[in-house]
Amino acid sequence: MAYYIHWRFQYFSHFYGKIGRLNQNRHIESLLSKISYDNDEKAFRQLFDLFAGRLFQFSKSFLKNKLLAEEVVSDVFFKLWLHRSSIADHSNIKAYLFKATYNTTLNYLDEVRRKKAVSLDDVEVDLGIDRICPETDLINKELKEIIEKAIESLPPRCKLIYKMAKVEQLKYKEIAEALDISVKTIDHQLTIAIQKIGEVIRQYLKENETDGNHLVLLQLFIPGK
Amino acid sequence: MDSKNIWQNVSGKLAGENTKEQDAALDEWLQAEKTNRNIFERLLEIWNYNPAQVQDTSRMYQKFRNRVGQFEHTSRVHNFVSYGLRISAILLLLVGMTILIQKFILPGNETQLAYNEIFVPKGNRTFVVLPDSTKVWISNSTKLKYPHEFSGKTRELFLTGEAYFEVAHNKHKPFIVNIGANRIKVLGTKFSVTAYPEDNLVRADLISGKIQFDIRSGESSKNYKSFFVTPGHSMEFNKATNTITDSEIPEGFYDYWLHGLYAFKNESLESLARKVKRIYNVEIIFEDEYLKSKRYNGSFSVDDNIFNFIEAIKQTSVEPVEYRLDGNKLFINLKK
Repeated sequence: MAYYIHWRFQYFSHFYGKIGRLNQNRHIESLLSKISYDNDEKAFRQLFDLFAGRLFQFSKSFLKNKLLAEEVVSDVFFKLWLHRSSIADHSNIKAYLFKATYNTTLNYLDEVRRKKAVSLDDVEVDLGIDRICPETDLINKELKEIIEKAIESLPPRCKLIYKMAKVEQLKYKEIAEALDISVKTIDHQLTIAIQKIGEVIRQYLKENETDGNHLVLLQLFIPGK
Repeated sequence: MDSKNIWQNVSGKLAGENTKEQDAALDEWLQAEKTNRNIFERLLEIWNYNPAQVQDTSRMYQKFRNRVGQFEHTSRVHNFVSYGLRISAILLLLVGMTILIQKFILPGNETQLAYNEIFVPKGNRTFVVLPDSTKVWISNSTKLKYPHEFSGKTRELFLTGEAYFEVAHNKHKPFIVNIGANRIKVLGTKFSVTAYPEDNLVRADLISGKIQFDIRSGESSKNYKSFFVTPGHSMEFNKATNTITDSEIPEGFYDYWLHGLYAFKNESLESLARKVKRIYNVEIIFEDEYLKSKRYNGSFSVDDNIFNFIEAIKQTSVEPVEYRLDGNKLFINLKK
């Protein structure tokens, strides 16, 4: 049981990372009030640096074009700057920025692709391969490749939602707002993604467990000689 | 518990969206089997893997600053403009009366559009706002001819050279840029046109919106082949081979138009020489034909000078190169 408690502590401890998130939220709040009340450009630059890179990646995953994605991001922040006096009213600036980026991105897509993007079932999403899966003690190179393949083969909408939840650390509600779909859909799609990854891990462990047993058997035989 | 539910609880746990009941159900599942814990451990590892994104945002910030700068500039001149509007309203009334007189009192006398003509010499750049508030950035050795007002069914102008347009939207009056025999038709958008008479390439780069590239086919001035350019793309028409190529807009596009920075990739010295002539007003004379075909990557600033350019060429060249400047001519040769 002691082992189990230890195990729980170790693997659930990442949720204490939430404290870091709270601190960041407080930091963002103070930036927003500086921008809103003092027209503080330095604070605006800090806010820009916090989000611009992620919004750029997000936009680029639809547009597949660096230049246009940069346009989108500077557009979004330009509008935010124009409305800076009411910026502190945004209860959730992160969700607002992602939503604004998504909408602006759609405007930059040509008509044909826009229709597809709105349906969300046909968007090609580029996750950035180096950021999908780590190679660790638990995940060897072979398993890593299997997992990456599984994630890459997810349906576009599913992949996009997985990315927004994992990489951008957005809450279900925030994703729902940004993409204009229901929280239930988000929950459902993320479940599909995690199930798929979980099942390939299960399959891999199962196949390699038998190998492990062979090894144990051999070791038992050798000293017996 | 069915498998659908358990995966919902697992993903909810990762995303931090689970209710207490879901957490409890997940715990139960984890305790039930070691394999479950093994799977979850790995899922958690993947979920938490989120390396910091190294992203240089300074360029994007500069773009944002440019936009703010442009906006503040236009709102500052706005008062001036509205004052000007009152004057032009009076003038317009006078012009209107003249047209009425010409049309009805002096019939048979065709009304002629009065044109403005801007010529930007070599080594210069300028910026104008057209009567319909379309913004135009005009590049070196470029001629732009446009009417005092866009009175007809279309907004039509004539360009030789290179310019970047931000067209004011008006779907009732298509905006047409005539470039020699060919033309570009738009409704409201941001795009650039490169059409120097001495170059074989005519080029349009589209940032957003929609443009129609009309290539004259046959001798008649009414027959055009139309091509649509997609946003983020460039369309190039080669007058010599009669071919069209479509490509993504090069990365240095904005640097060129907004900061006068010309970036080039794998471009021949001969083609660079043509640009240099327009930008710095210096003609490069190749004393050795071989040099023409040498290819370079890099960038140079429109506000810089010919020496920095030629020195960079000299220093990066594998075979030693020498040059001498004589008035507006720069002679280059392989070092003997």
